[in-house]
Amino acid sequence: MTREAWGDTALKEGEEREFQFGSLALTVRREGREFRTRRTLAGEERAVASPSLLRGDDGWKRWVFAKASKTMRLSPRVDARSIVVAPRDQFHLMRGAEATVFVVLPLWVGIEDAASGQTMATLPTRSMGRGWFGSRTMGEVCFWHQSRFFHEPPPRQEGGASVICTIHIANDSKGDLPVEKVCLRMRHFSLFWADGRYWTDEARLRFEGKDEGSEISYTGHPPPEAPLAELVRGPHERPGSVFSAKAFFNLFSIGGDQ
Amino acid sequence: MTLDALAAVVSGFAPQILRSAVIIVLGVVFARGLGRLLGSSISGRLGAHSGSLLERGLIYSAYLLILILVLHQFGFQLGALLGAAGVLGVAIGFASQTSFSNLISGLFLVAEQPFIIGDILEVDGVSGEVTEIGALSVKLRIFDNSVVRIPNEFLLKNRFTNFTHFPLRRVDLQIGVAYKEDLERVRKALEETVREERLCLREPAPLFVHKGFGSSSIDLQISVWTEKENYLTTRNAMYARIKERFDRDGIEIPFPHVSLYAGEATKPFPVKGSPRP
Repeated sequence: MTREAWGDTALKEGEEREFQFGSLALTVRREGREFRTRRTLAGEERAVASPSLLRGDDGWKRWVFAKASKTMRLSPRVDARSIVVAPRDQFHLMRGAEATVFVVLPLWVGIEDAASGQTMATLPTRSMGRGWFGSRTMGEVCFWHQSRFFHEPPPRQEGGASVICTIHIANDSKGDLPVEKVCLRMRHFSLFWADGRYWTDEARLRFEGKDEGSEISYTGHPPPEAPLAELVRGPHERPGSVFSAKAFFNLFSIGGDQ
Repeated sequence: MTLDALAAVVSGFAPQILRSAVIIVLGVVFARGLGRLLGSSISGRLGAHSGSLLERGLIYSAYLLILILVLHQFGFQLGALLGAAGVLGVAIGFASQTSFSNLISGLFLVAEQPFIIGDILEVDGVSGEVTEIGALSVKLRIFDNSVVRIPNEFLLKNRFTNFTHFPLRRVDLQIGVAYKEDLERVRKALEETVREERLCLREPAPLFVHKGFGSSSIDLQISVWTEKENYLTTRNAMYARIKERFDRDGIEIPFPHVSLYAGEATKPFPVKGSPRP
């Protein structure tokens, strides 16, 4: 996937265009005043009893705008929903230690009507599992993602519709921190472009102990590894400079499955 | 009574009428304003229904106070009136014990808040969505779109289940596989099936339980977590996916067979009597 795949595409009446972003195959068609979109995502099969199949749904969605438009726009995005990232290998941060790790997250594709700027859909470029961050009684639905915790920015992958997220973790608690999962509040991240790759700004997590929670801050500017990166999109929601939240899953893991 | 006589009576009570009018107007405005203010304040904390219930309670109490004050303006002896009201109250109380009990139970339910409008309850074998929490009863819209009215007292005294109190629900799926099947292979197939279904949450992790050796199958339970609003869809989707997957992998789902024979074998058994020794 090159950067040129993004941007505006003018469609003639009845014209259909296909796009491929990672595992996402997207088809867009213009019919009179409306756009129609259809997507397929490798690895995401529908069950025989899914409501859409029972309705006889062929997968097309139709979008009608106040004013007729011929141009649709595709833009790279990160979704507002949080992502729980589980490291491939067990990752322990010993007392007093700090580390910067890089995780590779999937990119999202925003489909807009270029004239009005209204968004039709925001789609992930790979099939995402869903998880829960919190206890059985309260928490939030997140996307579930497994990634290696790289110690330096991973090499660029051709065709990879992904974004590199830099996380700086400091363990200021009196014990060791075995990181099983980290919850990334994606709504606070900005998206940048540099060296042929997408980056988020850096998240800085400071763990001070089970009872104290974690201090989290989002720098809001390009990570040190890509200082000249160009801002592609700001955050969905601008966070305060520092806030306290639960970010590490291991300490709040849910016990008692019965 | 002539019009002149009526006018004389009215003019005789003019100060009282004027004072009563002021009490009524100011009282009603004040009661409604205060009720609305407290109601909206309570709504924010305890929910819209509690707010509206308390607002109504406050307004009706204020109306009663206004009535007493107005009667007092016209010289009614409140002591005697309250005495008579007490006697009447006892009589009415005996007659309306059940209603009163429901009313008090309703207040406890509002304070305890074991459910809110929109929750799915099972009460006394009936399941449905809470559509109204009234002073005397709770109304459930059951799934065939009829309404069941449950007195508050019943809810306070009996056990009921709120299926939607927490944001997550566990879907327990009961499955039987043939004795010849490799359980590790079955487990792997089930794990993959759970991963394929987007409605199943990856965390909390699904649970596999070997329930025992049944009469015709090895009985398993797979429990997956989902958001409460997706409970039924997840259950349907998972059973469909499991059947699809087992068919594809050739994993047998056994079921008891009943054979019915017709013809010679079903002739009546001959019964012969023998003489008593």
